[in-house]
Amino acid sequence: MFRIDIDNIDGKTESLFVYGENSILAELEEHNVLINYSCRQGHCGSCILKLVKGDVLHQDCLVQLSRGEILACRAKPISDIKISLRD
Amino acid sequence: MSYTTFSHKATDSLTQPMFFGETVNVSRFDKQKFDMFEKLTEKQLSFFWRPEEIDVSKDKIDFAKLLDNEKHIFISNLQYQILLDSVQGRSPNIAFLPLVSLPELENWIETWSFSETIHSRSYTHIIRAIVNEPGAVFDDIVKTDQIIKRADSVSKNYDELIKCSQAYLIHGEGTHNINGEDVDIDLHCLKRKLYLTLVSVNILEAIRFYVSFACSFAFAERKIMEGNAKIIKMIARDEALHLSATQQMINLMRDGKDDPEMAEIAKDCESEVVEMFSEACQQEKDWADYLFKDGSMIGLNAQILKSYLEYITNVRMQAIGLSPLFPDAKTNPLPWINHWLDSDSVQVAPQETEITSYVVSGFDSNIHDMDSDLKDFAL
Ligand code: FES
Ligand SMILES: [Fe+2]
Ligand SMILES: [Fe+2]
Repeated sequence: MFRIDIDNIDGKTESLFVYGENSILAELEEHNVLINYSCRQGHCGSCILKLVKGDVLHQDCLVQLSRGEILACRAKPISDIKISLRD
Repeated sequence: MSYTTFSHKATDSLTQPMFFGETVNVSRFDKQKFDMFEKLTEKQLSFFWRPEEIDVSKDKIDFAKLLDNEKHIFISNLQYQILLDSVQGRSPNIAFLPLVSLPELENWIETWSFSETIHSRSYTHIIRAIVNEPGAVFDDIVKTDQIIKRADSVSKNYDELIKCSQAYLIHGEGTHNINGEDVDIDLHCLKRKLYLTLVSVNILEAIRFYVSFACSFAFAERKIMEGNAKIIKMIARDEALHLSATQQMINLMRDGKDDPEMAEIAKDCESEVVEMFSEACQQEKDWADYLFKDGSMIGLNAQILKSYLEYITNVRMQAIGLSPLFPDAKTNPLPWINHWLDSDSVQVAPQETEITSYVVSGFDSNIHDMDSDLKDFAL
C-alpha cells in the first residue's frame, strides 16, 4: 500500500492509502478530492498536478510537462508520494 | 485574404495565427508552431480502427430480448449519434480548412474529421447487425422532432461561420447580399463566429455525446449489447482526442497565446458561451426525458442521467476556464462510466504500439528555488 499525501487540493490536506492500481485521478475521485480533468487519456492537460515527493509510473502523454509535473489521469504511485496543485 | 489551394508566398508558419493568417501552402511537419496538433494527429492515426473488426453478432440476440422501452432507448441513441457524426464527418473540413493558417492544424482537422466518418460507418455496421430493416432506422432520423431540434443547435454555428466566411473569402469585408439578406462582414465578426463555433463543437463532442455513451455502457454493464459497447468505447477514445483539441484551441485563444484579438473576443463572448453551455445542457436533459418516456432501464433513468449532465457540463466548463454552472453537481453520479472511459481500460488496438511508461520523481520547486536563492546570497 502507498500513502498519498495531499497538500491543499480541493481545500483538503489529508492522506490517502491506495494499492497503486488506479490512476491518481481515479483515487482522488474515489476519496472525493476533486480536481479539474477532461479527457482522462493524457491529451488535454487539465489534470496537471505537482509531484512534490516520491515516484509515480507515468504513461506517455501528449502534454508538455515541466519538471515535477504529472498528469493525474496517467500516473500511478509506486512509492509513498506527496502531491499538490500547480502554482 | 482570399482562399488559394497553394499560395506562392513564402511564409513562416511559425509566425502565423491558427486561423485567418496566410493560407497554408506546403504541408510540412518538420517544425510546428503548436506541436500539440501534430501529436494529436499522430495519436489519432495510431488509433485507426475499422468497425468490421468488432463482432456484433451476439447483439442481435440481445436486442431481440430487450423490452420495447429499452429498444427505444437504444435505437434513439444511435440515431442521435448518427446525426452528430454526420455533422462532424464534414463540418470541420468545410468550416475550418478554408480559414486555417498552420499546416499542423490543417492536418489535424482533416484527420479529425476523417475519423468521424469511421464512426458513421460503424453505426451502419451495428444497425445492419441488429435489425432486419436498417433503412427505417436511418429514414426516421429526419422525421423525429426531438432529433431535428438538436440538429439545428449543433449545426447553427457551423452554418453561420461557413456562410459568412465564404462571402468574405470571395468578396472581402463589407455588406454583402446573401440569399436576399444584407449581411455585414468584417474580420472581427468572423473571428467571433469562429470562436463560438469552436465552443459549440466542444459542447457537441464533450457533452452531447456523453448521454449516448452512458446509455450504451449501461447496457454493457448488464452484459448485453457488448459488441455495440466495444464500438462505442473506440468512438469515446477518439472523442477524448477531439474534445482535447477544441479545448486546446479555445484555451490558446483565451490566453492570448495565439491571436491577441481572440483573447478579447473570448472575454467579450463569455456570457454568450455560458449561455451556450446552459442551453445545450437543458436540451440534453429534455432528450433524457424523451429517451426514458416509456420507462427506465436497469442502472439508468432520466433523473440520474440529468445529474450526470450537470456534472459533465461543469467538468467541461472548468476545462476552458469557466465557473461551473451547477455548483451542487460536484460528484459523478455514474462513477462506473469511467471504467469505460479511462485510458487504462481501453483495449489497445492491434495497430497501436504498446503504451510506454516511465518513472517520474517528485520535485519540490520551492525547496530548489530556496537553494538557488541561498547560493546567490552566499556569492
Ligand atoms: S484529464 Fe486530460 S490530461 Fe488528464
Ligand atoms: Fe465522432
Ligand atoms: Fe469527434
